[in-house]
Amino acid sequence: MDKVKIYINGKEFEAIKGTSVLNACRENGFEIPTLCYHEQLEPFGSCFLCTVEIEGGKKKYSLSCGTNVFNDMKIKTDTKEIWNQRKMALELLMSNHYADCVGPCRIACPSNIDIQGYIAAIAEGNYTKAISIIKKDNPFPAVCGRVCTRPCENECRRNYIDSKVGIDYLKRYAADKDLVSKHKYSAEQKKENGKSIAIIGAGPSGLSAAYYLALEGYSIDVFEQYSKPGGMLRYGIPKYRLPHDVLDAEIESIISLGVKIHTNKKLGMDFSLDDIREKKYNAIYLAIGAHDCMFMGIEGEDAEGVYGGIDFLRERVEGKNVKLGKNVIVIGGGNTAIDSARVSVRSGASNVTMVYRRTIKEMPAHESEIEDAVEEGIKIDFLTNPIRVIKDSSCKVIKLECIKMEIGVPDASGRRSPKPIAGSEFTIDADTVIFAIGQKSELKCIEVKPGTATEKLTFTKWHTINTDEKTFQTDQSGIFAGGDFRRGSDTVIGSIADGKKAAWVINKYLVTGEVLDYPEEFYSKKDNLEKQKNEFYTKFEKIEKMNMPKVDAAKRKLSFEEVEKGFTDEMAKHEAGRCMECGCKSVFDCELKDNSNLYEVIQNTFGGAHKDIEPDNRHPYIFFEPNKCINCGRCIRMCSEVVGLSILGFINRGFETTIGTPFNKSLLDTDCISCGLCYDACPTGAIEIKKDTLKGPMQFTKKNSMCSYCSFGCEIICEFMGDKIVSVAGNNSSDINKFGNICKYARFGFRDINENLAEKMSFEKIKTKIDSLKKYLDSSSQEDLAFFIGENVSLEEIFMLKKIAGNYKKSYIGSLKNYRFNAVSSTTLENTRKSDAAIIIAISPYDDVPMIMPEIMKLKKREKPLSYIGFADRRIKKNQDFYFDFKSYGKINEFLNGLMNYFIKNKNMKSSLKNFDSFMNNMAEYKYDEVKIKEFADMLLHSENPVFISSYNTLTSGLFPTINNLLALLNKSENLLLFGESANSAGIIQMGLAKIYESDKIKNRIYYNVALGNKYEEESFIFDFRKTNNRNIIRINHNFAERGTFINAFNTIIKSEKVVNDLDYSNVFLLIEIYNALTNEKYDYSKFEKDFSEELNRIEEKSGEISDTEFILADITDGDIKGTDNNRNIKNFL
Amino acid sequence: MSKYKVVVGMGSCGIAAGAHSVYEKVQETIKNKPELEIMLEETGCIGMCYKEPLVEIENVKTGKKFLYGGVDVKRWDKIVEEHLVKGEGIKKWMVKTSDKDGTEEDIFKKQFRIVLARTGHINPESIEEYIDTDGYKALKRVLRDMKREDVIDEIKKSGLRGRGGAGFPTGLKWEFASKEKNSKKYMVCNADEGDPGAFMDRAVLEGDPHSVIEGMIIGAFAVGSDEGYIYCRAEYPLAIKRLTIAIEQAEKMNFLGDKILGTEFSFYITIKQGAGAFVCGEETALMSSIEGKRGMPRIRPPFPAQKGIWNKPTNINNVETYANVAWIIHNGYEKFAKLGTEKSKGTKVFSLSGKIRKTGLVEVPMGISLREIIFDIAGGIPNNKKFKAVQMGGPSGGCIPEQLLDIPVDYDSLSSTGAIMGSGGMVVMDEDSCMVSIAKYFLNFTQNESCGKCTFCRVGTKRMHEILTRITEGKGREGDVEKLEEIAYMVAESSLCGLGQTAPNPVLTTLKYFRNEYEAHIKDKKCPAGQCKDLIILKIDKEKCIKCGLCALNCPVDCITGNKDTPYEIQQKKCIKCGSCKSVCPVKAVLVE
Repeated sequence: MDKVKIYINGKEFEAIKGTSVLNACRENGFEIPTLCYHEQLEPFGSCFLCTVEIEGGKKKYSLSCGTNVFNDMKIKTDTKEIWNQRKMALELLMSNHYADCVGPCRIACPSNIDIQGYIAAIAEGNYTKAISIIKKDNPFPAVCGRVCTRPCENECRRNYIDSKVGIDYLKRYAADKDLVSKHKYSAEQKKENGKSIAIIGAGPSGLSAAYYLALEGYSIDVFEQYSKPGGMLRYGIPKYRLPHDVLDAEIESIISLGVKIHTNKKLGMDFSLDDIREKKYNAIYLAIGAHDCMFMGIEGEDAEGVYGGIDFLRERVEGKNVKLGKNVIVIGGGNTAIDSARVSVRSGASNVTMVYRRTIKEMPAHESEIEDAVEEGIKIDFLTNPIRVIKDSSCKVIKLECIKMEIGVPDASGRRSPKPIAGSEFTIDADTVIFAIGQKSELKCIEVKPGTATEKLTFTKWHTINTDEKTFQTDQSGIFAGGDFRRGSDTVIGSIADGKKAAWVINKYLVTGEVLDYPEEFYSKKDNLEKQKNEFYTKFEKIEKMNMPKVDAAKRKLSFEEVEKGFTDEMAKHEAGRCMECGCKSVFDCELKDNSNLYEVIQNTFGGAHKDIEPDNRHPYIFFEPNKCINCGRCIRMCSEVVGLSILGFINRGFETTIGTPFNKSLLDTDCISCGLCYDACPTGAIEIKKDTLKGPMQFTKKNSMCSYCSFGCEIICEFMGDKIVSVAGNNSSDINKFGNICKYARFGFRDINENLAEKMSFEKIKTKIDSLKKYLDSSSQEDLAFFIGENVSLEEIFMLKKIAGNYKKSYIGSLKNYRFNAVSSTTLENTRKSDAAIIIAISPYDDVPMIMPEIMKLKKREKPLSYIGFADRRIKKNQDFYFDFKSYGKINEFLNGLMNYFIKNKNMKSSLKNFDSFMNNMAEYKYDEVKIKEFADMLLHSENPVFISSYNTLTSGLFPTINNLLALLNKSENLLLFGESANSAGIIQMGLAKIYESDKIKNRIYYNVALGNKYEEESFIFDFRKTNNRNIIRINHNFAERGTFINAFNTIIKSEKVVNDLDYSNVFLLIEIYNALTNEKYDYSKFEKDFSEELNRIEEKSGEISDTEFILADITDGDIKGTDNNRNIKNFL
Repeated sequence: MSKYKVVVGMGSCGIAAGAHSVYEKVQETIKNKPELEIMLEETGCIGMCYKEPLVEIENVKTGKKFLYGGVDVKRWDKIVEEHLVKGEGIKKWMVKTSDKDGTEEDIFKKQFRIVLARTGHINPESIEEYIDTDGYKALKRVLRDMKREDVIDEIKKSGLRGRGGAGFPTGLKWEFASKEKNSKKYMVCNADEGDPGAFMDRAVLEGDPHSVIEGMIIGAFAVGSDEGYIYCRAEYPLAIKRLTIAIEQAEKMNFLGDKILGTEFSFYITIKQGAGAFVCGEETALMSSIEGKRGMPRIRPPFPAQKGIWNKPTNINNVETYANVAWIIHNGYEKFAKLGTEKSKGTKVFSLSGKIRKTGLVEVPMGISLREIIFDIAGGIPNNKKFKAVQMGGPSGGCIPEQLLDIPVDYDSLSSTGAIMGSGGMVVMDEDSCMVSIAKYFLNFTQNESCGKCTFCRVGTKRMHEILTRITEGKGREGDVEKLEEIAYMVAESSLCGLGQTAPNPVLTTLKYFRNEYEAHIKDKKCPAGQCKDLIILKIDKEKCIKCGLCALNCPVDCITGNKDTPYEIQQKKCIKCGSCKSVCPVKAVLVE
């Protein structure tokens, strides 16, 4: 290959002549973004993201996908202009991308928890998965599931329809399940890295930072002023809301990562920041919280009986005896105020009144808390403000003087502040007054002294510490801060978020030495293009919301027992089902999103009109959402260039241009073969393949496997959850199905298993089944016994079945099909790719082996002639240079024989192979139409390396000899590809099981993994994983739950690994047991392994050699030649 | 032998103006007055669209010709009576005579006609008339005396450049295609004239179809092609009809078909009708459309000469380019090269429309100034209005202001202004034209006609149009002009085909030459031309008002009050600013503010 010298960004590199600038740059390590270019497709040039600057080029921005390298080419990939141009391209695309990457709930969450993901996992009943999703962003799901202020729920789109999804309750449900589970979720922890970090404060923020840093392998010391960890979670939130055993359990899971919590260590008293510094910690995280109560500064606050809210709550927790009178007044409207009031009720106060200067609408406390408080008999005086605490001579509180307020006109910020109404003063009897109007951090514990670790720290007038907004670093390098200390008194989830984000920054800082901004992800939001309104959601069905079961108000008032009882399984499932899945299914692998992230795109830079087209949900598994489409045309081109069909196209013009089917037909009403390659090509979420889950999306574990639905042997990647496969994709590193192309069988076949899986059987039950099998076999005579083996059964299983059948010497063992001839492919896939012509004979590629089409289309791209001799098929017709269609195999047979007669007569073709003379005589009687076949025949004669593609149906139908003879005559016997209908069709034949049986002789039948559904005969004995009515069934593992070896149509031996668990035993183990039971031998697995590997060696040696070809003079009449009888179940559902 | 030959102009322009009924009337005259010995014929467009229907009367004996303009059925009767019966020509209706004393002579003075030489003079449905006027002589010469290389050489030396807009040297293009080694090559004529305000290709196809066909055959010979397509928009039914007739005639006489004129050279032409997508005028989109696919441009290279229709080498030229070929071969390249400027040879046809006295077609030598075309040939601006700008090159072109009117018309000078030669559409605007609205209009056209492929063209032009719309609605914001420029620049630089690359031109040129109008819209919320409805108020000058009430009578929303005694007044709340009052006021008392 010729190479040229090119310069990328000033450096010299080599590139292969004729490659595009894009690929040349990529090969040399320069990433160039693109949304329309695709490695399988011709350059298109529509997205304009792959632009580069080429010195001396005609245009400022050259398309790197459509420009080829030349010698001494000077390319710039990273100039400011190019960056701007790419950014504008993305912003223009995003200005018409009316879609949400994630639900508004996730965006509203300060810690950005994948809410949609964990709700999906809960809908599937997989709470471990749910907790694993939550814990990525929040180590306190059980805590937060009880006390979170739930900003997520405020944004829930269900609010437009009925009422929000109970997100927080669901979180609690999953967390509680996990806490009592035997297999509690624990995240993967990296090895100790030798660095240590000091964290001051064991509250939600400090402990969250500790959790995430410990996972990264740091040694963590947390210093806590109180006697127990938890901070505000323990001392600020009463037990009836957050029981301490729940809190302890979640703290325990942090401690279990090796985090050391040093309690009763108060900063400024027991140690100083300088002490910490001296201990050589690599970084410090300050999360001291806000524990100082604020007061109003009114007269009489010094009276006995006046408390600060948070002090009051803490002292209750610490068991200190707080003297409460009968009349308790709580001032404030936040959660601390409500908590103080409710604790007062539980502590015996008979009249508890809350005084709040605004209305209920403005109350910061969560609405459900307010409701609970009112239920418990707490009175709330709205629009009331205290002005004086009245005390008696002994300095005890006796009354509180208040004034009525009114809401004023909005100020500059739009906020309407309350104003006192003159002359409306009044007094309320009180013997305890609790001020719960806010907390601030205690700053005196940090002494800022020159020459110390703290010398540069600065604070705000609100008693918070100054930090960088995005790095959490204080003015002192290496010291970070978060939580209430940074934010001022704020929510639990806010503190957790700070801890999580600061941990990210600290980790990066310690790894790279740089203090980096916490990366905020780009999210496309519908609201950026159009504010959402109720009327957009009228078409959605209302679904009743599950209410949280609570302890009765009368009962709960008397104790600190937890008020909320949590969801039952049914309630959780129901509530999870209410999720509207606002976020995009492609969020985890969206090229558009990734690039928008990279180029710091702002979605509403341009504004303007946007598409708003109804999504197309007519196909059962392929979902179109045109509003997300960016017109890259990859799907269209994938369909036409790779698959050879043209189902999709651009419709309309200008801004209205979009993608669709002709006349907006459903895909099912077109020639679409549902291969889903359009989805694979889509760079965003405009085309979706639905996963087999109730809700989504979420990220799944993946394992490699192979498809068993035809003998192509495509390599696939399965996504699974628990024991269930939820989706299948092609493996794009495969050499068999290049680029990871797969068809509908591979993509959707697993659904057949999910839908039809029979009940599991214990091995005990299997043993009784083996006994009945033994009886069954003993009762049958050997001549009337047959073992029918499914064609996607592994070689290992076939090997064992052969051994079992070997006991019944006259029995039949083989496929249910009558294979008359022992033949497999004689060429390889590699050679096929080098072919100079393709001739398809008596096989319907789009139905039988769809993934041969990309290979054929590649030949077409190389301008090699394509021919088709088969049944009428308009789908394939348009790409063929020669197309002959017939109504039966018999007619195809006549045509091919006529063709051979033409070769012999007109081209004087001869052969030295066996039987030529009698063959020649046989052919003489066949007619041909010279005009019709002349060009085709010439092409055949001139092709040096053609590939003849056919199927095993020719073996059963009897057409095979004719094909064999044609190849022999052309001297191309090594150019045959034969496809079977299942993964191991070739294996069956290679194992020597191509045989014919006479069905009327057979009385007793054993079916092993033959997909007959309920059509099994009553008296037969079957091994299957599918539901069936037959009583004589032994349950075996399905393909994805069993490892095994297969031989595909290209004679490649493929090892397939187990993907999911199904049964407690493997099929091979079961067969060994059966063998032993039948023979009383003690065959074991190690013997099996040895024997099988010998068998495999034998097959491997044999598969390389090709037997001498001869002309087969089969005695075949037209009547023998039938059509196909394909019985793949999956066909029925698409 | 007849006494008189009467020729009726039956181009689309003539038919639209009523030529059909005149033609029928003449037939009636022939029937009723056989003694006049009238011979009736039809012809194509002569270029004076503003005077259609045109009828030429030739005195067969003397050979003298008299061209009457604005002929309707009544005028025809009068012409019969005065001219044919009495022998006295009606001078005031004559626009041109062989005595050179017609009223409209000056429009031909500065013209030089190659492409339009026959249109309006011969019967386009008669191959004989074409042959009589030197038709197919060039082809005969080529087939008899010349080799492929000679033809290419001759065209190269003539300096002919593509008349479709880009101005690529035709000879060079042919050479590329001829050098491709392939047994199959295609020759395509781009007759997808889609610019608003452009109709020169239609006039040629309707008036002289054989000249295009002959050019194509010669080109096919030079390139080595045996199959050609004329891609013509279906909205040109007359052109398609005449082309079909012409192809049949040429085939019959073996100028087309198998072994042309006894040589080994064969060539066939098929007409492919386009469904009217503007982008199909772009060569790669056009090829895609011929293949039966959606007309969408693709990346070049490979160029059509390498991989065109069905991946075969393909040569594409515009109608007008082909129409020059036979003339060059017949008259010699020197004669052609003498015309025009150093880099732009020959002539160019322009279609004049808009606010101009003499709308129609003119063919001028390259190098002539715009001012000469607009004022000397086309008579300037009607109604004593002031010239403001001329939009050159259709929606892909730009607006050229008054101060640049003296630049010579050639490819390079026009490009330097920000406009382009384009296919030759010229839309003239007077002082009443709002340049922001003009830019918006053209951008709307290109936006709607974008094939939707490239991000910048599809979305960028939409965003530009939205900004222009809000400016004309008085909702323009500070920074809008800069944003427009920023997007415009990117759209021009980041689009695959000419449509996208040139779509911002109207905006960019109006911004360049009329930026103050944009600023007036945005900052002062005023439309200086008084066109943007949201920015104007119509008022009646009480002192000028003569209380005639015409305005009130014509107001569609009844918002004008007044009577014989009190001056009329417009109620602003109800006014829809349609301007009806202004146009009917006899004393110009309705003012725009």
